[in-house]
Parts: sequence; structure tokens; C-alpha cells
Amino acid sequence: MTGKLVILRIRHLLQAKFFLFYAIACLLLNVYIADITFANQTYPKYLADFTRDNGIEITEKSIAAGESLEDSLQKNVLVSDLYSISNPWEEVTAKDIYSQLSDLVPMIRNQKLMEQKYAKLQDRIDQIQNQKEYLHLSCGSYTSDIYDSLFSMLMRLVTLEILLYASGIAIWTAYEDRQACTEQSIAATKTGRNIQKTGYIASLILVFATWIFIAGGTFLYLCIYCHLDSFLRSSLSTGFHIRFSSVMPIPFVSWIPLTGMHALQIHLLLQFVLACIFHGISYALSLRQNSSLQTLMTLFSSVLLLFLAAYVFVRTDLFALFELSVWNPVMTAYLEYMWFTDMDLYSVIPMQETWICIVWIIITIVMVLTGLKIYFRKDLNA
Amino acid sequence: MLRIEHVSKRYGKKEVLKDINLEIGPGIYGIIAPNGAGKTTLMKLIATLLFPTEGSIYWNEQEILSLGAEYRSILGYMPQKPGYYRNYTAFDFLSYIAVLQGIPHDAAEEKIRTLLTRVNLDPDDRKKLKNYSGGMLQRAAIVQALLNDPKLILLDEPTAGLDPGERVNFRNMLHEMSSDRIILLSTHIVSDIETLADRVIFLKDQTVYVNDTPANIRSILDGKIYAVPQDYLLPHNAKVLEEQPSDNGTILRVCSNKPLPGCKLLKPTLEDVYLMIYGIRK
Ligand SMILES: Nc1ncnc2c1ncn2[C@@H]1O[C@H](COP(=O)(O)OP(=O)(O)O)[C@@H](O)[C@H]1O
Ligand SMILES: [Mg+2]
Repeated sequence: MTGKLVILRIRHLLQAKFFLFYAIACLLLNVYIADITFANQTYPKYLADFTRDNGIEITEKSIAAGESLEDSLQKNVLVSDLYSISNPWEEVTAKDIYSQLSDLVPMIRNQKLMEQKYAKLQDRIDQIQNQKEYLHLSCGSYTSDIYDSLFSMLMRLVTLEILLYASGIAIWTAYEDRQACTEQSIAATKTGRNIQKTGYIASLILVFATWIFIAGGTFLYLCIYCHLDSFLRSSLSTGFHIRFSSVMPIPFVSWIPLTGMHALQIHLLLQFVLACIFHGISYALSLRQNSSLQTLMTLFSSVLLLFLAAYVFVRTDLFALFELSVWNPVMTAYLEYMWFTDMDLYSVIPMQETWICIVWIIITIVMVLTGLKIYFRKDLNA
Repeated sequence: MLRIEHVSKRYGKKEVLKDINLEIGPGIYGIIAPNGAGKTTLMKLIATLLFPTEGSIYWNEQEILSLGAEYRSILGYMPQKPGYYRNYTAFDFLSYIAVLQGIPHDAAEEKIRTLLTRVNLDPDDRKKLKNYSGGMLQRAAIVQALLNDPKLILLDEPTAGLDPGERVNFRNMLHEMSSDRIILLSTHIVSDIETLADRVIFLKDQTVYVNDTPANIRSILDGKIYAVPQDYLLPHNAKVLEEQPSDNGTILRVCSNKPLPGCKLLKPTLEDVYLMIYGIRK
């Protein structure tokens, strides 16, 4: 019976045209942005063709192949890229990164945790050198720009879209029967207040479907029409990928070997996990509170407060508190461009964003279960 | 068998029901009280939509909250302001409720058809509910409350918005069903239950004031209701219940403990009792 109810509820929710329009509009916007950012660029396409024939690792053979190409503007850039690559890790160790960063930013930190983190980073740096990942061509001198456009802009936008959808559909579903005054007739049926369980499941399935639609659609468009093959197949820790953090230029390093494609996929996955967290928290709040406006305001002011807290703590050099203030899904989503990198000072421990998500998945489950329990014991009085 | 034991309900500091005690067996029960007296609150408590501040309600000697779904599956509840999904047809909405009630698909379809026919909605069952009139919605809500063949039926002001023909049909329907069920209906329209109810419950001062058969309740005023011409000098404790225009001037309907010589004695009605209990609102 529950399965049937969930299906009926999904069909019912699909009648709320606003959410359909929203999803379509999001996908169109993403495609448009991907189009103007990537699809019209000639150099990535040129590299895609080149690496398809000559591999993504720069070798003497590929340099020779590059030189023998027909003369063109792109060829000149390519050849200069092929020659300019060097091993950025020859002089830089993880310890260096840590000491330079910590010299410049006065920190009250857990010294031991930080050392552990950067020791782990050194393992990864050794691996980059052994596997010659730094010799990957990727997008050559454009690598950092492409990375920023893809992860700091497009993927963050997709994340924002999914998170808004997840919260919106949760609040909509939880309050729908109250709004339609059907809550009381339904609560007095055999299914009774279990209706909120099916509502939770149905809206979560819709979050999943919409994520597939928006993020999957954007992803497909990127893969098929944007000629990022070379970037997607190369390691992100290529020698071309230098980050200019606020402190100094640092070669990019992630905590596991990541090609552009892996990073894209993991971003999509983590984005979905965040969506589930946002959905669950919004639903749980809706079960406790008595009006959708109240729930919206609670969510909105919580987000504002979290940003404000992070800002105030960073301004007042209260780094322990600052560290705490990034341990939530809102800041995790906001810091998406830092995901899977261990170079930043926002994370104390390796894989921090993953740990944050695991912790918050647990918090979310607890919140939803207690929310349901509260709803089961609530006077339905609207 | 429904038993309500020492039930009280407070909203914050406001006490709406106080120490309600009722034993209810098969038959039709009319709950009568003015607006705001707590009829809806009592209905919702029985429907498990509200939780008593004190006391408990039992169905066949088992606490209804611990029975849960088992209790709700024998319950039919029609709220005072029934809601609906605007874009659903009556048939689709009722099918959805049938699923919520756990009724198998085929049985549900047949049941919906029968009931819609019974309330004369069968020609409109494919119309969207947003195009229904108030009376049609009310009848659809009655069907919704009866879908699962409930043993305990709670109807909160079910006749509001029905025209006289629909009202009579509705009363007949309840009468047909009442032999082996409990039907509880609240109303402030006394005539709805005058002939229908087996027992009438008056709520006053947050609690049960009277709980008896209509005949017994009416008999309280036996020999006290008179038709009195307007210029008649009334004793000071007599109470005017109604003014009726007639061919030879206005006639007053008066309740008086002392005999009124020369005036015609009338048969008391429930409405007389209602007015004696709650007074006339000016
Ligand atoms: N949620 C609530 N909060 C506070 N007071 C309420 C609430 N619901 C009902 N009341 C009050 O309880 C009293 C009884 O209401 P109700 O049961 O709806 O009466 P009735 O159905 O007889 O008109 C009214 O005075 C009403 O104002
Ligand atoms: Mg009422």
C-alpha cells in the first residue's frame, strides 16, 4: 500500500507545474552558460583532437607530433604548452605549503590534525610525481580557467539550483494538505499521519529525478558538445593547474587521484547528497512548524546566520570558531570550488567535506525521524 | 461502543472542554451547541486529530490512540470545513481517499459509484472539484467519510450548505445506515436532528449538559409552551421564544412555568429546549 501511495503522491506532485518549469528553466540556463563558456572555444576542441591521437601525457613523441601539425594559431599555443610543462613538485613539499600558509595566516589550530593532514598530502604529491600526472596536457595554459568555469561557476550553479529545489519541494509537500484543508480528512483515514512518511519518500524521489534531469542534462551537454575531452581525461594535478590562493601560487592537489571527469562525477554525487540533506532538514522543520512561511523564514535566517558567523569569526581571527562554522551543509555547498582539495585552510582534516556530509546525513535522519514523531503527536488544528 | 472518560481539552490556557463523560452505542447522536461551544473540538478528539489534555477515549474498551490504524479504519470523519484538491475530479479524489483507507482497487471503485449515486453526484463524477458548488462539495465530503463502511461515523455540521431536498435525502441515508453503527453528528440546526437522532447531547459550560432521547428532552417543557397573543400581559418569569406573524396579529411562543389562562398549550420542540438553555442571541 505504501508503494502505491508514494506513486500516487509523485503523480500528484507532478501536477504542481511550477516545479516542472523550474527544472526545465534551470537546465536551459545551464546549457546556455555551458554553451557560451565552453562550446565556442576552439582551443579545448583542438586539444581534444590532439590528445585523442597522441595521448594526454606529454612525451617526446607527442611533442614531435605537436610540432608536425599544420600551422595555426592553436598550434602555436599547443607547442608552447608542450614545451613549458615542468614538474612543479620538484621544489614544493606539503610541509612547505603548510608552513607558508600558516606563516601568513595566524592560526589557532589543532597542530596535530594539521600535520596529519599535510603528511597525507605528501603521499599524494609523491604519487603525482611517480605516476607522471603532472605531465598531463589537460587544457594546457587554459587549465585553471576551465577548472574555474566548470567548478567555481557552472557546478556551483547546478548545486544552488538543486538545493533550492530540494528545500522547495520538501516544504511544498509537507504543507500541501494543510494548505488544501485536506490534512484532517486524511489524518483520520487508516493511513492517517503516515501520509507524511510517504510525502517524504515521494518528494525525495522527485529530488532524485530532478537532480538526474538538471545535473545529468548539464553533464551530458558538457560531455557531448563542449569538447572538454582532454580536460576531462587528464589528471587535475597537472603541472598546468596552478592555483593562486590568497597567499601564493600552489600546484593543485586533491586527496585522491582525480581526472577532470572523476571530479565532475564526484561533484555531482556530493551535490546530490547535499540536496538530500537540505530536503530532509526542510521537511523535518515543516513537520514541526505550523506554517510554510515560518519554515521558509527559519531556513533563510539560518543560512544568513551561518554566513554571518563565518564572516565574523574570520574577521576576528577566531579560527577555532571559524572552523566550527564551516561544519555545516550550507558552507560546504558554498565552498564547492574547494571540494576534494586539501590545499585550503578551511579544512582541518583530509576529506573534510565528505565527513561533513556524513555527519549531516546522520543529523538529517535523526531530524526527520523526530520530526515525524512530533507530527504524530501534534494537534492538527489548522 | 465508544466511551469517553473524563476528557478535557485546553488550548493554551483556554479550557474548551471539561470533564466530558459519554457512553455511546449504536444509533444516531446529535451534538447540539452554539458556535464556539466545542463541538468540533470534541469531534476532533474522537477522530484522533487532537489529543486530550486529560482523560481518554475507548473503542470497545481499548484506548483509541493505542489502537491506531485499526481504530481509524473503522472511523469515518467529515470535517466541518472539508478540503479537496481543486484539480481532481470527484472520482479521482475519492479514489485517492480509498487508497488511504486501504480499500482494494475494485471494491473501492464500486463503493464510490454506489455512494455517488446515493447522493446524486453520479452525473458529475468526472467534473473537477473546483467547478463544484458548495452543496456538491458537501455531498462529496459525505461520500468521503463513508467510503470505508465505517462503524463509527463523525459528521461535523454535515448539513451546512445543503438545500432542503438534499437535507432530507441525507437524513434518510443516515437513517438507513444507523442500525449497526454509531453516527455522531454535530449541528447548531436543531431541526436536523429533531426527528433523526436517537439521542441528543447538549454541550454547555464546556461540558455535557444534557444527554437523553429527544422525547425525554422535550418532555422537560411539557405543559409550559403556549401560543400567546402579543397584547397579553405575561408573568415576569415567562420567556418569549419566538414571534410569529399570523392573520390576527403577531403570536408569541412563550415558555412559562405558571399556567397562562386563555392561551393555547403547544407541544414543546427541541428548539424550545435549545432556546431555554442557551437563550436568544440578539
Ligand atoms: N487552535 C485553537 N486555539 C485556540 N482556541 C481554539 C482553537 N480551536 C478552537 N478554539 C476555540 O475553542 C472553542 C471551541 O471551538 P470549536 O470546537 O470549533 O466550536 P464549535 O465547533 O462548537 O463551533 C472556540 O471558542 C474556539 O475559539
Ligand atoms: Mg464547529
